[in-house]
Amino acid sequence: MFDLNEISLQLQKGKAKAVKELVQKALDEGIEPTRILEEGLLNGMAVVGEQFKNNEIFVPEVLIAARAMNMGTALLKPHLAAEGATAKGMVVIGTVKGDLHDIGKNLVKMMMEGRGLSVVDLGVDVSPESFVQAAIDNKANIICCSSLLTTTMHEMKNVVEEAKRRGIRDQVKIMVGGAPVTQSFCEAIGADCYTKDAASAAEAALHFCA
Amino acid sequence: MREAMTKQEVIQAIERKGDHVRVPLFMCKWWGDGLAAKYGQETLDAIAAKYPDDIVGAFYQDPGEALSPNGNPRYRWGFKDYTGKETHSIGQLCVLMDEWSEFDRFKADFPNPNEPGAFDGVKRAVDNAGGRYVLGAWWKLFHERFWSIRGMENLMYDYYDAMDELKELGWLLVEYYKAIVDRFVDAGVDGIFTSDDLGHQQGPMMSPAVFKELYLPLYKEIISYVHSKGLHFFLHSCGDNTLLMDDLIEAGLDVFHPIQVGCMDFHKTAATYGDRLSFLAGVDVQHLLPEGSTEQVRAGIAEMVRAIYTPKGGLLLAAGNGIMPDTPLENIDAMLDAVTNAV
Repeated sequence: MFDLNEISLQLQKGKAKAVKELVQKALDEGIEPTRILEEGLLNGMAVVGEQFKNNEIFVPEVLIAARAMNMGTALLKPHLAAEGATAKGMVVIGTVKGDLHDIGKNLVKMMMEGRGLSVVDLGVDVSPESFVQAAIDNKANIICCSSLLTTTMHEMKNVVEEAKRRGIRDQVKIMVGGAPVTQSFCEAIGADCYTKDAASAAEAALHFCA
Repeated sequence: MREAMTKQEVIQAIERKGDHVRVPLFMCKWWGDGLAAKYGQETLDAIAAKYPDDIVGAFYQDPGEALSPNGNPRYRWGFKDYTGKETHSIGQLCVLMDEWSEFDRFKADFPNPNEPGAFDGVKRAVDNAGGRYVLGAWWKLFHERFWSIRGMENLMYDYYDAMDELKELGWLLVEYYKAIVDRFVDAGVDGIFTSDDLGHQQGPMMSPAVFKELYLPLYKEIISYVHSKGLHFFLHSCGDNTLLMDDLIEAGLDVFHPIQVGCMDFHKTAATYGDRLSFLAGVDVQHLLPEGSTEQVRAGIAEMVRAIYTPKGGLLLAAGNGIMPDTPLENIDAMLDAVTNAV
């Protein structure tokens, strides 16, 4: 009997080739693609997220794990589509206007994808209008804003205001994060959620989409 | 106006061999992007003139990233046409070497550390130091240099995919930096200041195992070289470096900057490492300076001094990073007054 936990373990080690081979083997043995995704790949990324949060592993290890996951999901995608499987939620993410820092944002994106969420990455220097338009276009559950600078974090309030102006504020959760951002800042600008690290952001996003 | 500390006093503070030594000041007037545009350079200069530093920073004209800074087209780290390249993770620079298959070309086009004229400003700074302690300086040592060459994400993968190439590049950098140190010695500096931003908000950017394997030997080599010339070694490294502190101390680091507030606890850091390392403690530019009252700024600095200062020394003071334009002018003045009168 195929052990899906082996996919999870290899993913945690960032062994992309092994993950790809194991996913193919699991498919060949007739295991449901959604089980391979959930019990193999997403299980592995959940462990990675927890280890990262606890400083047991670090950014490079998260990246190679995410790379391994992507190798596995690339194989699964056509099968998942055939099954009619859908993502657990839709997130649009970006670094706010005037800010070009993207390392943290990219990590959050990887962690969210690793929890089974679909993420549209708007990149850096994203205007409030672009955040909200992308949320409307993609029917997003969550807008996720990142900032590294004290001088740009205030753009997050403009995202909140733009979501109100476009009439979608009650349909999306707005998450904020980045080095200078705090819980009190999140509350002050009327956003829904602040988390201090990428793994916690993915957990919170999953909760919002449940 | 406070009288500047002598070179000897600064050395006592760095080496923790003083007797009720004062707190040396360096880079307290680190004006961040946009600050001069907001308040005007003249205003900032007038404030700066009231609070002279005890340590002079003398930056050499280092090679540009993609473009030469001095008219010699080969005096830069890049080696090809970067027009139209995507910006990388810190936003301003190109990924200079996308693929390791380009490494031979990159090595062949390494900048010349003996570039004529690159130390003219350093010599002027030493001449004008008035007997104060002078730090020869440049930004980007190993980790920052790697990421400026490879781009941050590539570098993270390189730890697993191209460790041998990184090591080779690291040792090339060591040789380059040794030549730079020689030029600083010739110019008459007293110490070396450089940067590596090894941490993020909650931990190091790489595992301690990767640090030990790749970075620690490089640090040991360059710091021992600096020490062999009779100079101190200062390192600026943002983020939470706690898991790397023992290794940095083992490598011989003399002064660590900034113990970033919000990432590292300066009470614990000083208590744990203060007998083996001195700190150029950085005033918080993310929250305290832009958001605090003048009283809170003064109180925050006083707390830092209480936690780190010993009569033998061990504490120097600076801004934690560039002071941002959302910082009220009165807070900048309060900060400079407080650090000037720290002890």
